[in-house]
Amino acid sequence: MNPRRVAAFVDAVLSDRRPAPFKADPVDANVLRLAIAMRAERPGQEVPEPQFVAHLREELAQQIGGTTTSPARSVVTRRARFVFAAATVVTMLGGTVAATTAVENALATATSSTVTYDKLLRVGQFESTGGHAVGEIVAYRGDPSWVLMSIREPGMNGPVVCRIEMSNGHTAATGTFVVHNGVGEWARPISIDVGMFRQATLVTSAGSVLATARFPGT
Amino acid sequence: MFDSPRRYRQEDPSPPADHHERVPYLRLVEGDTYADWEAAYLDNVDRIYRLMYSRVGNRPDAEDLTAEVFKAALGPLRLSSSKGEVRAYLLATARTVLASHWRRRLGQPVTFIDPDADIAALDDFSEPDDGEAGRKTRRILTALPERYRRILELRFLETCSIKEAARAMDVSVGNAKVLQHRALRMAASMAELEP
Repeated sequence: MNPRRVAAFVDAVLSDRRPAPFKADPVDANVLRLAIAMRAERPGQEVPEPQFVAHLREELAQQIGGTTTSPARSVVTRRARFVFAAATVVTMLGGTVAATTAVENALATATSSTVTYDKLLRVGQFESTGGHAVGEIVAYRGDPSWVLMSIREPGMNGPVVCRIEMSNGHTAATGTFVVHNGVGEWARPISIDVGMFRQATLVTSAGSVLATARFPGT
Repeated sequence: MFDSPRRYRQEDPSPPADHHERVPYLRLVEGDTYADWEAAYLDNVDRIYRLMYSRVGNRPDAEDLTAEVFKAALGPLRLSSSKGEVRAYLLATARTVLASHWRRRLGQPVTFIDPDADIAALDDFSEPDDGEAGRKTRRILTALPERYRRILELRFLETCSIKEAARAMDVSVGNAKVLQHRALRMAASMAELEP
């Protein structure tokens, strides 16, 4: 039982926020199941927001029509993620408030047009060798350009190398980070055009491939 | 613009016994297949979102999972399939997506989708219905000791913050947190014992 993590999860659910991941045990799961059931009793949240429905329809039209590269995740949720990612990156890189504002403005502009969005941001989903999703990588073309990746995979621990490859076969960037209890993040500024990114690979320090993410359209 | 799938309001000719108080409700009665993927999407997005919300309890995750279901399912979908088959397929996809969500987030299955049980809820899309899960939750609440029941009512049903709940119960915030934790644990234990 992990009372603090469970309490934080319950608080997030009660505030309609996304709960943070943690390693739960079966007792935690029972408590959280009940909390979710009770939360769902509260009226007024059962209907999706029209904006979400419209944006998802737009994304599906692109995916099914095949007219543009299909983003890996929802526009609505991506924006929140990207703003978070931008803030994280700016913090990690020692950026300024002005830099944060610039990134957020770019993102705000980007949400109004998927074409513009794709010019600015690329998203790939890491899939393990077993085929399930273990995290995401986000590359941003701007001033500065940056790349951020996030891993959420229970059971993963230790140092991991992230290698980003370009469409010409060259390596665009590498970085090493440590995964603690299944959670790890890595970010850095980058001077290479993120439009040339083809895929990213996570490998152990011994060289074994853990997961691969392909950028759509490559 | 896209045409919304047509729905007709009518009385269910033979409602299940436990639904006798919630008529009329909306039900699809015309057309066996969807005209295009957008019709399939528009007719089912609310259903899948509502299902996911009831399984994760928060809007951001419910939106993410709903999007994941449609992105995975609509591509390979055959439009010659009946509406029932489309929903069954969406439900099967939703089941996998939810299981993967919990595996990533907590490493434990927390909530589930039962294709046999949940397909009925998906088909009988109507005004929000608390269903058996809601009745079970209320039974458990009623059976809890007074102070445990009160803290959960304040927090979950009356949308009080922990400070507001503490004030209403005339205890410190720390005590309210302890009460909430103990109440949830006891209620979860009772839920496990319920059929």
